[in-house]
Amino acid sequence: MARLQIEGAVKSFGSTRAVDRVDLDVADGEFAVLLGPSGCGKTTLLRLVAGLEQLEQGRILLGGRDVSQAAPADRDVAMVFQRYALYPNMTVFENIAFGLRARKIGKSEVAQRVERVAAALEISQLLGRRPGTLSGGQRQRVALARAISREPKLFLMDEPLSSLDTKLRSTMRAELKRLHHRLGATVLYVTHDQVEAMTMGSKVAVLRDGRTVQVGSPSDIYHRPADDFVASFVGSPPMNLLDGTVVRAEPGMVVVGVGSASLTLCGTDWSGTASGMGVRIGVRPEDLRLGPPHDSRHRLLGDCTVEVSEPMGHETVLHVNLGGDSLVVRTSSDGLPEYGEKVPLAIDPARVHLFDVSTGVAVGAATEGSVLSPVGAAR
Amino acid sequence: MPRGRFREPRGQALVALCLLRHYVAGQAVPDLPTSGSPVVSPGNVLANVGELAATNALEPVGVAPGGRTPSRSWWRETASGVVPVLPALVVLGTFVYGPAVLVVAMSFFHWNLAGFSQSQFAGLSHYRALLNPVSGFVPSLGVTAYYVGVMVPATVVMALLLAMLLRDSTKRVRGLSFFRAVVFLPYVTPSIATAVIWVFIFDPQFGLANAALRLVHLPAVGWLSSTHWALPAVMIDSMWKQVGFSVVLFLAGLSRIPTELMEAARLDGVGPTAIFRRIVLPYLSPVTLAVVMLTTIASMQTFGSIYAMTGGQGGGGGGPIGSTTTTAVYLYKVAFVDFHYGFGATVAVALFVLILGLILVQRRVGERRTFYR
Ligand SMILES: Nc1ncnc2c1ncn2[C@@H]1O[C@H](COP(=O)(O)OP(=O)(O)O)[C@@H](O)[C@H]1O
Ligand SMILES: [Mg+2]
Repeated sequence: MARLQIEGAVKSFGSTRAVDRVDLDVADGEFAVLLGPSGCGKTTLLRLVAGLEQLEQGRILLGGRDVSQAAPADRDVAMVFQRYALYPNMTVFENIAFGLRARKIGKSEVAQRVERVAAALEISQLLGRRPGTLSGGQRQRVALARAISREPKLFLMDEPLSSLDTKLRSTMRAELKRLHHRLGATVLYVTHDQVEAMTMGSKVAVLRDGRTVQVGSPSDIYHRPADDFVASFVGSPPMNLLDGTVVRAEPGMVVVGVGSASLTLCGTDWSGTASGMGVRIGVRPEDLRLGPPHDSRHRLLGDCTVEVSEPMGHETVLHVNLGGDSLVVRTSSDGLPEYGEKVPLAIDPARVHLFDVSTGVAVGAATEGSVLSPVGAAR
Repeated sequence: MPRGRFREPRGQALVALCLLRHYVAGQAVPDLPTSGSPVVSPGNVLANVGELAATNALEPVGVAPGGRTPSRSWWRETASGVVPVLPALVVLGTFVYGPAVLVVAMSFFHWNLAGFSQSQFAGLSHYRALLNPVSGFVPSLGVTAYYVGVMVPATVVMALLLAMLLRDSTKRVRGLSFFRAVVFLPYVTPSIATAVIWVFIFDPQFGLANAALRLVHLPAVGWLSSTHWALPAVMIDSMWKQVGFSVVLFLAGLSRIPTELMEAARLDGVGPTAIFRRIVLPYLSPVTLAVVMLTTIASMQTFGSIYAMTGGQGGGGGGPIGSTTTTAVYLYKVAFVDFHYGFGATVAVALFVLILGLILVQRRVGERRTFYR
């Protein structure tokens, strides 16, 4: 196992910059996730680390050694490909053993390792079969087994669960996590699925157009998004974004006008704001509430109309209209308003995020003590 | 799916008929003066073979469903299958299947150009004559075996080598498509034209071949006038001329190998030799089988280039002392130099049976070693 450092990695295909000055530090034994929409350069970055693509600029260190120029075989990394890349003409056993034999590992040692890994992944009974006869989940296990048997310094996984069905995916998510704890392996895991990123990674790097937008723990990414892209990409349903204007900016406090209401927000630092500045106000669906506020946290935002209701069983997601803006609210499933019904909408001001409307960059998040007042009250 | 109809047994049988025609006729059809068939364009053959390799159409073909009462819809379905291929069937029937049946009939007669009524029934005497050492048929088999025995493995190796050099992932080579065209061009050039070039090259005094030999201090060779070297010279011509076709097949096969497989292997430290042996070759096995079968058929029937290069000597082809008289050339000599039409037809039937037998054996042996996805 080893630490992975990516420093200023750049890779272009023709005029498109697939990876643009990416820095990433993955500690020894850490499970790091690259998260981003399709086409943002995740696979390319992974292939750069594997050595399947050549860096244009920057360098890659593995266990402190610069491997930027090293051949893929000399990097001691194992990759799980998106579509498994199993050798269809070989049995499962041979699929796993093929790479081991190439590493000049003795015959009995190869057999032992294959048996051990197969047992760990519960595919022992499949060893004699060909990949073509296996289900998607089984192929996935074989691909994992092949990578694990190599005992590499680093695992690279390119959306390994994306072709599994929802149920299998959540099972494999947990299994991968267990496996990671047991092996203590360094993993760089690519996904476009924010649920996978949140649940699996101890570090998440959000990529957009080849650049890292934010690197942090899942909680950081969720609770302190660096910009409105991260805010809307992470979380399901995504964060609500409303346009507003800064009415007053003072050290430690900012007043924002939104619709017919104004928010007085307290926070540690609002230095990015200025009076008259356009902002986007971000609030997560769970920080909105239907009905008159009956606790000290929530404040009334206005009356909204219910447009769509999506019952999930344990909760219900409501799409409401507030003075022309569409908002998503997450509520418990009991006492729901009808379609078209007008209900009061309350907000938790302490959980509001502000983003600069022109750059999208976060200018601060509210803390305890933030207040919502009816329009004019704060002026 | 518009192709669906041809997946049905009846449609398949029709497609199989068309394919069979290519097997029997091969691309030697335009060369053989015995056949009055329309010229088969290389593109046409290529398309069919491409289809063949792509869909593994070498599988046994189903027979039309029997024992069921023909209903209205059955007739309609059959008609919708038959009508579209009818024009082709008529043309093929007139110029290929008809003559083919006629040839079989002719082989039992001392054939007279005036027709069956003027011809004397010969029974099996022609077939007995085949085995008579005086007839020249048996020696022609030896020459054919030599020619085919070299051409088939040499074509497979050479075509594979060229395909590996010209494959898609060879991005470093500039003008890749130019080189591909260069390799394929001889295949679509008339064999008489290319033969003239090669006769020139193999000229004992002024030819390039001997010049090259002199350059590496090897003794000059009589080439086309030598009993030893005439057939190898023809082989070089045939190889140069036909390898491009197999290269195209191998290129298609190579492009179907997922690059991820090679990358996975490279990451695991598998060397290029093992990648070639354990990944590339298995993937190419169906194509290899197709190349082997098609080259066998083509080589068994090669006539044009042999006749053009070595036909002048000994009155009507066949090289010095018959050293290039393959069975196809022998057939021409018997029928169109000596005018023994009936016996010529017998040789044709024998050649057909030989090719068919060989192909069936190759298929049996090959399919077991072939890995289909
Ligand atoms: N081999 C390639 N040739 C040209 N462009 C490529 C190649 N690989 C990736 N790209 C481009 O680079 C960008 C990033 O691709 P990729 O890393 O595959 O994204 P992701 O894995 O995040 O979906 C895309 O715009 C893609 O079109
Ligand atoms: Mg990808």
